[in-house]
Amino acid sequence: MSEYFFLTNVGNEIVNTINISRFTSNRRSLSNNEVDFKVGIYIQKNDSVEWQKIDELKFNNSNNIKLSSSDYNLALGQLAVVIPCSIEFDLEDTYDVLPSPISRKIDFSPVAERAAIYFKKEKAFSSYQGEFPYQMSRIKGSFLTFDPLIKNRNESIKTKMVLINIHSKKLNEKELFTLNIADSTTKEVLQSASYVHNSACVLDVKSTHMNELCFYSRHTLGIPIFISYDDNGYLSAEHNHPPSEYFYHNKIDGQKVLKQNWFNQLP
Amino acid sequence: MKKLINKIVNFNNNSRPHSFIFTKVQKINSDISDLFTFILDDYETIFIAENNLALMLASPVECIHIFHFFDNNGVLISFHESKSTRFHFKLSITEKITSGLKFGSFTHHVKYSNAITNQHNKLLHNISFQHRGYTGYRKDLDSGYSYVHGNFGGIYITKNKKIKSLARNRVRHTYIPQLIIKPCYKYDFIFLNPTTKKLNIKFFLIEKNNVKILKEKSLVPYASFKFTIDFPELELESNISWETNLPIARCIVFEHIDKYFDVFHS
Repeated sequence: MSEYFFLTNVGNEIVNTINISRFTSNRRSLSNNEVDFKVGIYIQKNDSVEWQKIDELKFNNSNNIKLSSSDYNLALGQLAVVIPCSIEFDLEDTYDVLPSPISRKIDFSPVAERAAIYFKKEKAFSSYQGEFPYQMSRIKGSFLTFDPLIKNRNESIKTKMVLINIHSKKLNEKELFTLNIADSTTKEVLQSASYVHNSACVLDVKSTHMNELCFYSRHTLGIPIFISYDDNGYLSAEHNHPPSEYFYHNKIDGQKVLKQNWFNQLP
Repeated sequence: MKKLINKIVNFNNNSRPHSFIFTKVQKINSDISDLFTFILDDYETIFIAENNLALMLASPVECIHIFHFFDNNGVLISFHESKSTRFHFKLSITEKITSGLKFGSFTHHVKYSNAITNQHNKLLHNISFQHRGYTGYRKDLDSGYSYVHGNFGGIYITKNKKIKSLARNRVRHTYIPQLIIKPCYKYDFIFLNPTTKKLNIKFFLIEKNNVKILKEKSLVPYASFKFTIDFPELELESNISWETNLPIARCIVFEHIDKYFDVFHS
């Protein structure tokens, strides 16, 4: 497994930062504890299929690399993809196909090669340890998730649902897709937003939706992040786990049946 | 032959988080829960439980949500059941439910009536459910909750109503979260022992060119432990690691500064 990371601009003065350390997250105690690598940072313009390098960073004398969306002047919903790669790898200025990230796995230990992904609004902050798996960036897929993280909303708390989609393969053109919010019981679509390849779809969830909700796109997969915040110093960000995590045995079959049942009923 | 060699290479029992026999050879018919933590001294805790069958069917189904609560020494202290047809059920964890305890761990399982399981027998035959859920914490009644999803455990209940675990101790592993320990911040690391054996944890602070041992702790099965780092004298950003016999030793991390806090799994 190897992983990309990302920075994006979700609006409302919320800054997205990430921290990556040179230490592999999990290893046998007898194994070496670090991997030397650098990161390249690439963006695509909304109407372009070409990746452009905007930065390249090494650890130098530090154990950590810190990156911030505010350093790269990203437009709302624009993604900057962070690619861990070997020190010797020559990162070109432009690509049609995004380079694959290196694996930071050292031994047989189970590990997700993550970064700390933070969202900050003034002094309030919230984070999760996350990544965008390289394998996911090579699949078209579909997307379905639910609303447990926007329970207990009150009038002063706003929630953004951010869908991160990264396609590392060559694109001939950028397609327009739709992310929908539907009532989980009636399956009626309540709200929609458009997005393109290699972007973050930022959807401000209306506080008038009182029933249980589902979020779906028939066209791409993606990682959903829910960011709830208010003007009094509250901010919470967490990613939903994928539907496969509802199952222990036969995760893939379970997820397939679940998605079929929902997509057969959703408009 | 190539298949056999691949199987041998991939067997790698020293880094399997869960019992090989129970997960690969003998099917567990029960559902599997992560181990979650409740904190009621400075916080309110809620848990968002998933109604897995309803989610799978895309249709509301009556579900009995079953919660088992353990004290910080791993002793089972209470049991709670709630019925709901919703896709997600919210439980506010109160001292009434935890028998007065303010800190400990809990599990979540689901049960459906015989009529429902018989109706979906074919669908349920080849799968088993897993409960990750989302635990929410808040300090201020007017604020929203900060959530973290479950990420370690493997706890199940046998037909004889005994609590068992698939989690296993293996060779020594070292876990380093992608977390910078910052001067002026306070950190709480909450560890739960999901195994049926004693779990030894050794904490290290990684300064720029120096590694020092911070603490060693031994946890009995299902026990909970909060390790706090609050170093006003820390001048430089550092990293933290811990060594245990778990193949992947994740914990819940609280990061605090002033009135603000964040919670995430390592």
